[in-house]
Amino acid sequence: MKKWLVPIAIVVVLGFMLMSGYNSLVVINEDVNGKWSQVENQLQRRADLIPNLVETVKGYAAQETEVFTALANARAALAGAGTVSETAEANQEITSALGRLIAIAEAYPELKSNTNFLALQDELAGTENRIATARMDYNTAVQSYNTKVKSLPTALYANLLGFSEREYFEAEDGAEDGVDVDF
Amino acid sequence: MKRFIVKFSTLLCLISLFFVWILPVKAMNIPNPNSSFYVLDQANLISTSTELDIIEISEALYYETDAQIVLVTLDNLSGYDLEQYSVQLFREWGIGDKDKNNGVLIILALEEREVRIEVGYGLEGAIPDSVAGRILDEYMLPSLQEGDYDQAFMETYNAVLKRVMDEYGIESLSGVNTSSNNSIEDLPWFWIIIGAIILLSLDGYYLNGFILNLLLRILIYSSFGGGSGGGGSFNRGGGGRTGGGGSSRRW
Repeated sequence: MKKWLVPIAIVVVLGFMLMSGYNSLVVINEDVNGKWSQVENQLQRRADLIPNLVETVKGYAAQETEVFTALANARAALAGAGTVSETAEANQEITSALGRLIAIAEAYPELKSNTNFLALQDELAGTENRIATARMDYNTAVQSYNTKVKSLPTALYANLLGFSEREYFEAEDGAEDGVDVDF
Repeated sequence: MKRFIVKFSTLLCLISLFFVWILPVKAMNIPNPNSSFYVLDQANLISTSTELDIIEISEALYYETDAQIVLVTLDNLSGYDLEQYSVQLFREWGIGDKDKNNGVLIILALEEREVRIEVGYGLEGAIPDSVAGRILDEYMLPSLQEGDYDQAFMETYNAVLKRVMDEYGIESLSGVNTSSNNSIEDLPWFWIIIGAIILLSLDGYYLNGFILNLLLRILIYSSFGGGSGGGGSFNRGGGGRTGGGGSSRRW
């Protein structure tokens, strides 16, 4: 039994552990990416509904220009959003502007019973539900990714390999922000 | 040495802290499907004959297209959103085919007076949200308001079914009744019994009942095994998923 065999064996074993750890990080990181693109798809889908919705409402309530501008601005903000938190913020803007638009419709009985408007409202509700589902899926994926990145032994090398903590997609300004744990 | 022990135990504490931090997943308490899979009437609103009709049609549809249409009624949602609950149930049951994701869930919560059509990814083209909403408006709500649950479900079910059949270009479901064509009646029971008697009497003469003993053992073991392994779950879902498409209404 030669003495130099022991360190070599240790290095080899560590190397294998590192490799498998790295691979599983890659897999769950890609999972997070995939879930995030689902969120973006659904956000885009909702944004795409806006012009149609605005056109329909304009037919009955052309003077409510303030809401139309707010919607256009929020849409632009979403298109320009880069990070998860920017996207969440722009999304929040769209949600509140859309809420105001729907509230306006309440004041116009003819608009409320317009079949096109009703269908758009259904599409809107469905898309919002899809956003909620995609967000839930994304946050679940982030949670398992972050758990992996922050727990041992992965925590020792995750940062070195370029895997840092990922952001949750928060619903309302940090209302669901109960997951940060400091040691 | 003492210092080492202190250091070591601090390290252990830190390590265990890392593992303690695993968020508990909220348990939503989704019911399991029953043996029919296609109808789960927890709120007890649907008559048996309607239930059987729907099960039969759903089975024929599955046979032809792999699509699954499921009906669920609940007493209440125990505090959850119907939308959240639908997605969870849809995914846990795996309604629709795994690759085609062609499932539809029609779900009603009695206490909350809410009803929803949840559409799997693969059928979002055939049943867009606005169509799901219109189906609920036209077929579900009027009968629900009159308290005629059977008609509400049957008409809504048929409207959804028609959309799904159109999607696959099917005019009628010929698959109905194919499953009842069971071969168990065709077996020559008379000869099987005679053969068994001869076998068992030979067994008694020459092998001291060895075969009979073996058969009894197998029978006993298999019944015990079934009892412990089952757990009462009959999931016949194809593994389909939903992204939250569909529409909800209150009545």
